[in-house]
Parts: sequence; structure tokens; C-alpha cells
Amino acid sequence: MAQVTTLWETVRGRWPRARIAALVAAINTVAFSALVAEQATEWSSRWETAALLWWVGGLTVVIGAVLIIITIPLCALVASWWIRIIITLLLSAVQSSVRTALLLPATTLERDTHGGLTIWVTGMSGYLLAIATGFLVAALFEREDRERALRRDEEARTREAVSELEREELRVRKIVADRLHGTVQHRLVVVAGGLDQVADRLMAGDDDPAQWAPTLRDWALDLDELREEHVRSLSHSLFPSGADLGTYEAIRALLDRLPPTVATTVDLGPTMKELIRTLRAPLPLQDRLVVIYTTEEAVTNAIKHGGADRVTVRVEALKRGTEWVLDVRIDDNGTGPESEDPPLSGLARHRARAESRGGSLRLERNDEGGGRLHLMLPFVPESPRNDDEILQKQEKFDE
Amino acid sequence: MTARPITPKRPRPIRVSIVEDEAFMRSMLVRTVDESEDLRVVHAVEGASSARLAIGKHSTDVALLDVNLGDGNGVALGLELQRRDPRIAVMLLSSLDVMGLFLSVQDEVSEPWSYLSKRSTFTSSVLIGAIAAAADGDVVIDPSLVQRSTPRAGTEVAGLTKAQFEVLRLVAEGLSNEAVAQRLHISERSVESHLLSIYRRLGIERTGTNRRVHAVLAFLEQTGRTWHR
Repeated sequence: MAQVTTLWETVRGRWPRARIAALVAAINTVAFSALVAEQATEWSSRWETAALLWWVGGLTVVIGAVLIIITIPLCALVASWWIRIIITLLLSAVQSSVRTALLLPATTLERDTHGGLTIWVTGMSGYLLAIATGFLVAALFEREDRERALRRDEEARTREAVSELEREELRVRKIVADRLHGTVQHRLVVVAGGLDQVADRLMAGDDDPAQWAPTLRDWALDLDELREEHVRSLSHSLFPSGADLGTYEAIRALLDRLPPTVATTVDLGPTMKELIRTLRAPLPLQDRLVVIYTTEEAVTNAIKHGGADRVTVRVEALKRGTEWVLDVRIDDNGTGPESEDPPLSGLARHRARAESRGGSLRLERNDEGGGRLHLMLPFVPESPRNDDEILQKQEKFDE
Repeated sequence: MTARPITPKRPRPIRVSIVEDEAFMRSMLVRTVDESEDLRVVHAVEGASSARLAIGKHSTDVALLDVNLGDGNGVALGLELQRRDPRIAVMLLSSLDVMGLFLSVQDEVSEPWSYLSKRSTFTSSVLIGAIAAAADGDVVIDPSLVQRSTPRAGTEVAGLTKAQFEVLRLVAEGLSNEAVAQRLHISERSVESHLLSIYRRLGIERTGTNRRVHAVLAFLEQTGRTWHR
């Protein structure tokens, strides 16, 4: 039953194309029939001209129609073009033979003077041409449909990527605004208020200036922390440190900021190293940002939720046909996910972003039982920047 | 950091190029550098593109580069300048700790770079001493960053003894063996002995060009810093 359903779905899926093929083949068959009917009047016939016209034309149309009705649905059932060609050849040969047998008595042609063969070859050529043209036109339509569907998919992905970007922009704006209005503003107000107070008291001459030194030093340290922790974090939300230099540099910068209790390693695969050697920063900036933010989320989760104290990031570039794919694996020694490919929460938007760019993101357990986030991202390597050209121009200028 | 005395027999002033996009910071750097008789500002520009055009071959001894420039990145600019003139000493300036970025390009550079926090450049003795040390081929790392560094778990630096780590930390600050000995109240021979043990434990071979520089880079690579109080 399931096989019948599958077969029916296959036929239904191919039906639009088969209908076009049948229509074109039918038009061609009618044209072919009219042509052979007209030519029949030039035969030496035992029949009246009008009767011969109707007999030859009508018979050719009917036999052709039967051929189309049998051949096209049969061909729709099979996927192989070789089998379709064989079916078409066999059925055309049978129908041409029937046509020959029915037409030969109406002519003065003799069987032993190859008259039958002539009629058979004419029929065979006409039917084959009619059906082949039908298939060709249908294939062209199908190709057009396929390309249109691809364009539609591409447009849908672009729309999804744009709306994802808009959502991400809003999210980051909200974070930055909240933190600017919250922690940063509050700390600045406290320090400014304190400085005002110190200035007032020094101007009044009540206090020994030296006694304020520890407090001022403390505020300076407070501002250092504000700068290094909060301002940096805000800046990173807008644009990660090192992202303009390259993926490796940005990941190194990211891992360097982790607490010293966490052991970190970044491994570049041989192909990635070679790409970096020749192209410097092979990954386009948009793809780089996907990798950097995903790595950051994975590392944060591993430490915060998985209790990991060792993180390894491996980056390799793979060539698949003509396409390049970046393969990033972030392994940790934490508790790992409870199941393979569990539903994602914080990582869900990173997965959506990776998928909107034709990639994938999967959370799994590694061999040590810790977590592994596996990001695959197709990319088009960027040409080397024109720094060398600039340098060459400068060298000429120096000379 | 203890200010390093400028080599007295220098035949000509150290030529310094400054690339800084903030006008106030740039003028402060120019003023501080020009105050020293042994230093001379040859270029002071605001961006990467103007620096590429201005800083020609053999025109600069030390390039002070802000990491975040309006039209580019100081790290990328430093790589370009050193490709053109491998003898240029590059000193990165940043208002934020970008040590990870600094370390990520160390394999590509012809001469190890130095790194100063912008905050430290307000102390003229630190800035002038650091420029002089960089011109002499030393690696100078901002002392406030070095002081905040603690060994990263699972690294070779984490395997050093407390005394060895202290010696290495002071060497990373740019102190000479004599200054390290004075700071730790030990003999200079003890410092040398500690350094030999450090080189051995960090796997720095005797044949290396500058074992002290390699040790400093290993220190930076294998430590982390935290700014939480």
C-alpha cells in the first residue's frame, strides 16, 4: 500500500511536466499527420484522394494519440532517461508497425519493394520526433521551474537573514542601552559626585589633601574596572575585538579574556592555516561574526552551565566540490548536554543565524563526556586585501 | 615600571611615529615624546591610511600605534609597516586590554612588539623608557597588565614555582636582572639561576635568538588577567 502511495505521489509530482510533454507531442503528431496525409495524395493509390487523405491523416493521429497516452504516463513512472528512451523507442516501433500494416493496403506500394519499410520509417521518425520534442520542451519548463524555486528559496533565506539581523540589532541595542543607563551611568555618577565633594572640601581648606589620595586611587581603580569590564563588554556587543583582523585573532582575544582558571587552546587545521597564510583573513566579515559570537556563547555556556575548566576551539576549512565550508568544534570538559542534539535555548538564535547562511549548528557530547558545539558554515574565501598593492605603491613613492 | 635610562651613546635621536585618532591623545603623546632630547617625533597622524602614506622606509625607529583607529586597525597597520621595514619597532597603545589580539600576531612579526596601556602613557617616564627599550629591541609590556596577570590553568607557566613566577613577572615588566634582584631582595646570581630554570621549564632552547623575549611572550600567552575588584 505504501509503495502504491509512493508511486502515486511520484506520478503526481511529475504530472505537470508529463502534461506539457503530452500536449507538445500531440500538437506535433497532428502536424505530422497533416503532413503525411498531404503527401499521401502523391502516392499511386487504389483509393479516392479524399478517402486516402482522411484514412492516412486520421490513422496517423489515432495511432499517435494511443502512443502518447501510453508512453508519457509510463515514462513519468521511471526516473532514468535511458529507460524512458527505450520505452519510447519500443512503443513507437510497435505503433509504427501497426500504422504500416493498416496503410500499406491503401497504396500501390509492394511489400517486396521496401514500400512497407518506407512507411514504417516515416511513422517511426514522425512519432519519435513528436515525443522527443515534447520531452525536451517539458524538460526546459522543468528547469525553469527549478531555477525559479531556487530563486524563491534564496529570496526566502535572504528575507529570513535580514529579519534575523534586524532582531539581533534590536537585541544588541537594548543590551547596550540598558547597560549604559544602568551600571555605567550609575558608576560615573558616583565618581563624579565624589570628585565634586572632594573639590568642595579642598576648596574650603578643611581637609589635608593627602588624606584624599587613597580615595582618589580607589575611584581610579573603579574607573579602570568600569572601562575594562563594562565598556569593553558593550563595545564587544557592538563589534568584537579583533573581528576586523581575522577569525583566529578574534577567537584568541575572546579566550584571552576568560578567567585564568580556565585552560584554553585554539587549534587551526592545516587547510585553514594555508588559507590564512595566503589570504590573511579568508572568512568574510559577516561569517566571521557568526563564528565569533557562536564561539563566545558556547564558551560562556560551557563555563557557566557545564562547569568546564578547559576549552578547546578547533577551526578547519573543508573543500566540498566547489564550495568551502568552515568546520568549527568547541569542546569542553564540563558536564555536556543531557542528550544528543538537545533543544537549544541561548544558542537557538546562533543556529538560526548559521542556518540562514546555509550552515548548521549542533550541540553534542564529545568523547570525554563534555560538550561539543559543532558549527558548519559555508563561505566564499575573500581575495587578499590590497595592502600589498598599497605597499608597492608606497615603495615606488619612497624610491 | 621603572623608567629605563636611554642608552647614552645613541648617535642620533630615536625617530618616533605616532598614529592616534584622538586629537587630544595625539598632541599629548607628541608633547611628551618631544620633551625628551633623545627622542624625536617624525610623524604624527590620525589614521591608518595617512600613516601608510606618511611612514616611509627607514624613516622611523619606533611606531606608536593606537589599536582602534578610525579607518582601520593598529595591529594590521603594524604588520604592514614591519613587512615594509622589518627594523621598525612597533608599540601598540590601547585603552582596553587587547593582549589576546597582541599575542595572536606575534608569530607573524619580524621583531616582537611592545604594548602599553594608554593610561600608562600619561606618565612620561614610563612612555619614554618604553620607547627607548623598544628601540633597543626589547619587549615592553604595560606594567599594570603584568601585575594583574595570574597563570592560566594547565599551562607551563602554571607549573613554575612562586619565586620563578615573580622573577618572570618582573622580567615581563621590562626590568633588568639587577633591578629584579633589588626588587626581590635576592642576589643577581639567584635571578640568573631562576631564569635558567624558567627557560628550561618553558622549553625555551639555548639556541634561541633571544630567550628573554621568548620567556616574556610565554608569560603573556600563558597568563590571564581579571579586572574585577
